[in-house]
Amino acid sequence: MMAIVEKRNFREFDWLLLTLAVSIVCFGIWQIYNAQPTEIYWQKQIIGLILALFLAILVAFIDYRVLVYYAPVFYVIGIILLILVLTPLGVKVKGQQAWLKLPLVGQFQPSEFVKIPVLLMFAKYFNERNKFSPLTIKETLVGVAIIALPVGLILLEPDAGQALTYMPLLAVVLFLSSIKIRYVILSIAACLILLPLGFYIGVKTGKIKQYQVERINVILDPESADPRGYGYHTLQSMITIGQGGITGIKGDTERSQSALKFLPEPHTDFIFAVTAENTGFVGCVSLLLAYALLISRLIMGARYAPDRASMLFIMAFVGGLTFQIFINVGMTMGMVPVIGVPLPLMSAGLSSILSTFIAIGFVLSVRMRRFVNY
Amino acid sequence: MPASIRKKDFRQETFVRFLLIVALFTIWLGIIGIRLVYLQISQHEFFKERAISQRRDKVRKRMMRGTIYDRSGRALAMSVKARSLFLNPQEIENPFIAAEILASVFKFKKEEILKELLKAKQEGKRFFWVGRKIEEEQAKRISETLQREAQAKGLSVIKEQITGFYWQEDQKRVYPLGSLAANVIGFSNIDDVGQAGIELSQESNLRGAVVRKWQERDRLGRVFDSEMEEKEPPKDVYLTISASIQHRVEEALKEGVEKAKAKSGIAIVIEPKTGEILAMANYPSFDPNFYSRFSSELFSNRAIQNVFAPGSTFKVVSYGAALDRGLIAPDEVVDCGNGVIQIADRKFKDTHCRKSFQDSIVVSSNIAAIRAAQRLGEDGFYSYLRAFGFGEQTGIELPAESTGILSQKERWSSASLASIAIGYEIGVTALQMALVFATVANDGVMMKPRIVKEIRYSEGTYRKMEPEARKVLEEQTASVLRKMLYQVVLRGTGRLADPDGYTAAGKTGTAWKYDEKLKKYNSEKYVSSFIGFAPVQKPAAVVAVVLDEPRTERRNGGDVAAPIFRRIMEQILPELQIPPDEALVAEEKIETSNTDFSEVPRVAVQDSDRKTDEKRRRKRED
Repeated sequence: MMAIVEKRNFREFDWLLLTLAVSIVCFGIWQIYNAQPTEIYWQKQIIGLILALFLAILVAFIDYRVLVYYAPVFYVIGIILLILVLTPLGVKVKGQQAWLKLPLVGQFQPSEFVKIPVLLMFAKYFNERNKFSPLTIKETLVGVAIIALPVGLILLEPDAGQALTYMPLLAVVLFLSSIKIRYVILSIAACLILLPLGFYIGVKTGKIKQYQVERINVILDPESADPRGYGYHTLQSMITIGQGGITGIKGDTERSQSALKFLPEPHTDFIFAVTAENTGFVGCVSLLLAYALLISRLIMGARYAPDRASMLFIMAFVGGLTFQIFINVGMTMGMVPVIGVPLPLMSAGLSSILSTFIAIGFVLSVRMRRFVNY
Repeated sequence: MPASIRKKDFRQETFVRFLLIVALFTIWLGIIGIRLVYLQISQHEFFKERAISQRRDKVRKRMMRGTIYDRSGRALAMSVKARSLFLNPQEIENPFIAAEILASVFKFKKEEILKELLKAKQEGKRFFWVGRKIEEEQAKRISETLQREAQAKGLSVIKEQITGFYWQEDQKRVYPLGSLAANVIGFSNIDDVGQAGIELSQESNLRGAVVRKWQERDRLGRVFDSEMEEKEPPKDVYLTISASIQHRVEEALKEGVEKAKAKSGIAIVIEPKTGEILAMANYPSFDPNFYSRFSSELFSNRAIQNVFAPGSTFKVVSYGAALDRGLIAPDEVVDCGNGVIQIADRKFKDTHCRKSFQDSIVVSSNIAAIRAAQRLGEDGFYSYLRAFGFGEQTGIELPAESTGILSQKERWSSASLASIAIGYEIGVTALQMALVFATVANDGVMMKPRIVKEIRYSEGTYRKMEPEARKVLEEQTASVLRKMLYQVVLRGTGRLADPDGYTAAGKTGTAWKYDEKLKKYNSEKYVSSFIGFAPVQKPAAVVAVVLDEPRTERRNGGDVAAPIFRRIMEQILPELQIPPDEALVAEEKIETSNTDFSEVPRVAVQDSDRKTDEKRRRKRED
């Protein structure tokens, strides 16, 4: 039995998906090198890639149904980690206590990893409900509850950007679990009204800090924003991208925006700007196409998923991934406010790359088992 | 079956929603693509410019202005490093405290500076001068005091810089010898542009070019690349002026002017062989280090800018021209009737009658000079006036030189010839008159006056100014004139000009000033002068002294200007290493006083005169 499975497994192993992901990471390592050639980020990222590959293959050979079955266990572990972050075990970097330093494992960012148990929980819960009736209020609230706990903890770090990346997971799951269209329209309308209102009240009451206001103002009018203040990041990022032109700043790397320190966080949040500067329009479009290919491959995986649980997992993962890409790229191009969201597979950061590859491992596992019935 | 229909519907529904999500992604991707095209293609140049402009800054720095030296290499005007302090009113945290600090360090009134500062701030100005061109040492002290005060009063001081206070590198023009030769050197203004004198005329040589320097900096301000424009460095100007002679001349002039209670005075020293100006003094003068404290009237170099009627000193021209043409002889007795001659509507009086031309010049007879000019006729006299360079600039390297006034021969009245012969109806500059005597001293050859000796380039090469000569009088004529002028000093109106140990020759001049309002010569106001040279045999220096409106009892040129001439000669001749010659000449005195003037061959003069005329014409055509 095992042998048959394994043989079939290999035949169904999605080499294209894994190759695409690895290629993007490799491209990312090159850009990390461009951004900070004198630092060790790019070397760390290579180690991260090797680890991530190993993890993805490991996860691929575990039956995803087992993972879904044990979702609550992973979820609890994740919550414990997020609580630990807030204890003195957590490490504070730039005012955010988002890292956890554990013996043996080293330093990592639990908020990246907790996405996986959340996805598993969604898959488990929304798979087990009555599949053919629209979502009830109670079911919706359970979905909200699953995500509310980790998001609440992440907001305490505080890491609003990371917390935001959890939202599309829920949105996709609810949407695909046939939430009534009128609720969808209602929530969109509510967002359109409540967001500006909340922003206004927030500014008035001082809950939203001046730098956050500045980040939004700079999107509306980048030219007149204080070039030395918070608008600076967006403006510099736009300059960096614009400078790249069609084919990038060939050979003039010592004059690049990142080498001159004009571009902030070039190896993480603003890696897309670095890519744009070094490889130009051609490089950017290629990267976006690679992402599109990767996402369509994931969606394909969801299309042919043998069960609803895996389909929901994959689609929610796709939703999260796409959301992050759009937010990050939009932020570097001055279309959305600066939110500390890394570009998946590109930005330097082991936690982000490992968590993404674990999810990819899950998708591989689903595909390998699509014809298998137990 | 309802269940299966529902199941099918549900699947349909999920698929539609699935597609919706994909569509949303695609739209988003499209938007990102459009934005990319906008940023990277249509706005590429704009952003590239911004990237360059934020890392590049242009520094403009002016090279140090060239130095002006005297003939022996003593600096007369030089630039030193300095710093200027300005404020950016927009960055000043507290204008009240800032004004307080500034008032305590500089000698400002607190209320005034505060008012100005607040006004500048309100008008949105980003530049507010506090102190300009403060010399390095002093600037350092001020800067330290400012910082201490600022810290004590709670202004933020970052890296030795008070917020909003800026020091700028600058240069300052200093004139180490103060007012020495100030009217010659001139001065340059706060923007280091020459405004007068050599500073103005040699602006193109002295001017420090603005060198643009580009620096590329990273965000932390570290320079990683720079580029500098190549510009020719300014040149140094060496003058013919000798600082020590100039100093002595100025001292003598000052004393003389004060003694004569004159309005002002001019003294010029020329080396006749070369035309080099050894000194050119004006009194009263000014100190170019603090030029703004002086009335601008004092800035002009009156030696070349003031025009006056020369009076008797001009008789040298009349005699010289007539002698040159062989129309008079020194020992010829002048007929002057009963001491009054009437020409047209004008009467010329003279108390000296029945004298030789030699004796006439000794006593400065008017009629003798008029007779000499009359023999030349208007044409002849006019051509000599032109040859001596009257009515045109001498071409000295100084700005705003006057041409003097010489009316066209066609406009002369019937009395003009006689008037000009004795130095009226003509306007001259002191330099023009001095050159007449320099010509006589230099065997009839007029050297173009020069005050710039050479221009030195930074790499050590230099350009020497070449002398220019033109023959005005025959050598013989000049020699005879020298002897006649020697007699003036020896026994005539110029006796007070006789220096100890040296022989000297010259002519006094006392002229009424032309009154612009009355349109006639005012017999109350004098211009008294003495111009001459020494030693007589081999003149080493020509000195011209002109006093404007002396007001003492005795105020003739021989009384007030001659002593100045004497004092100058006594001091500068030893300095020029000229051995005293008076004792030597005294032995030959009998010979000199009984000079045989028949040595002037008239026919030959006529002949050579034609030649010089021709030469002159050619020169003018050039």
